[in-house]
Amino acid sequence: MGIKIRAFGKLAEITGKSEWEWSGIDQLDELKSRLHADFPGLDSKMYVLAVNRQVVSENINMEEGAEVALLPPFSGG
Amino acid sequence: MILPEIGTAGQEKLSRARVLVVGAGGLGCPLLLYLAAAGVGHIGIADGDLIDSSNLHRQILYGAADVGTAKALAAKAELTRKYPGQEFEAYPFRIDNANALDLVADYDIIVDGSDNFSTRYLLNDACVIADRPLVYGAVTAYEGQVAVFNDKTSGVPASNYRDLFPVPPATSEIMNCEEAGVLGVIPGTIGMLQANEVLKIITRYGDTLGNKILTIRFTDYLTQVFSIPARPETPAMIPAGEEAFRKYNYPAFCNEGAEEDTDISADDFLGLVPTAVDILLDVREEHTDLPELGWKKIHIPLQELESRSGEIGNAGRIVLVCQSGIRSKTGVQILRACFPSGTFYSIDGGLGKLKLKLKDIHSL
Repeated sequence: MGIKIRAFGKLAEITGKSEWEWSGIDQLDELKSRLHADFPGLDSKMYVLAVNRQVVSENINMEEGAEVALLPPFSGG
Repeated sequence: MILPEIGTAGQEKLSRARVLVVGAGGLGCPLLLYLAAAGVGHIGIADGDLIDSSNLHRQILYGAADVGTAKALAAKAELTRKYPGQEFEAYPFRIDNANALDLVADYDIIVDGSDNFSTRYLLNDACVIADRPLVYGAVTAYEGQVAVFNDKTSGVPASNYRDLFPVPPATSEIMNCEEAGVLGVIPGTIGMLQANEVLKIITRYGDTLGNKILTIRFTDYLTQVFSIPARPETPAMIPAGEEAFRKYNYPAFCNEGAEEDTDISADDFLGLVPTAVDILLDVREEHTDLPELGWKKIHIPLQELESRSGEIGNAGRIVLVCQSGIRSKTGVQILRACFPSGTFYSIDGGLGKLKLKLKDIHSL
């Protein structure tokens, strides 16, 4: 069991899937680097990361089984 | 009202409540109908747009005969016809930094049913300054978000939209329902959940989405609630008071309007009120002292700008200056490439023009 990642909104079009798992990631910054290495389209996108249903802005340790969400802003109404 | 959590006391609170709904479109229509039907006594409707036939599938307050009339006026007419005992006020103009604070101060709860980032940031800041809860809703093709910002009832420091998204995305990323298309039921559902949050705030039933954001993916109904902690750096990003708010250029902050137009005149620059995260960036090779204008000042020669861009990564608005206004223009292009969602200006005519203006002001 690794880390479960979900991409929302238009971000899922860049990642090509809305849910997947990655293993061997100890810190959130490592996850960010891997996201941008695997999906360069994310470089120009604004989004925030949530870990286990909490929005986080700093680097934190990642536990096995953690759930990460990539949340983009929506403007539509 | 038979529900024990609401009761007669809740009904009375509803009839006394004053709720401002900004945006009478896909989110605003269902939410206005449900708030009015629930008996909210005073409802303000702010929208500067006209009814368009291509929007009728999601703007369910209006019909074919209303096409071409102002949304706010048509919404008020329809709601008054259905609920003549309640008060509806129409504001048929776009909410901006000149009128927002007065409007917001006149209501207890503000609802964001807008369709663009500059209105969303403007409303957020106005609600922080005027200390009002803001019920937020937004949609994209098949997903929606609902949150309550600046909700002081939860006991922890109240977070707001800028705690979630400190800066808006670059223009190239932005698609609204007008351009991207959306099924009417999606803003319809999100608008109704916003109405539910308003009813919770008024009657105190249940727990609000204060300091949280609810996301729903309609394709498979994946529904999640995320908590949004207040960030220590957020207060410095919000205009400190009424004067700073009125001078904050929200469309420019949200990269709306002409994207290539990076020049700011010396006059307009002197009219800006810097927040603690804004920077005046000198890109000349040889640095000499810049005038003291309340801006945090940084010197990075143009040649080094790309390699040292990390030094300004977390800044708010960045105004570039050089001697004549040419290097600074190039600097904006470099920074845009590094930070697509950043806000950058180049002072037209550079330091030469700026010093002349300051001389004029001082000789007055």
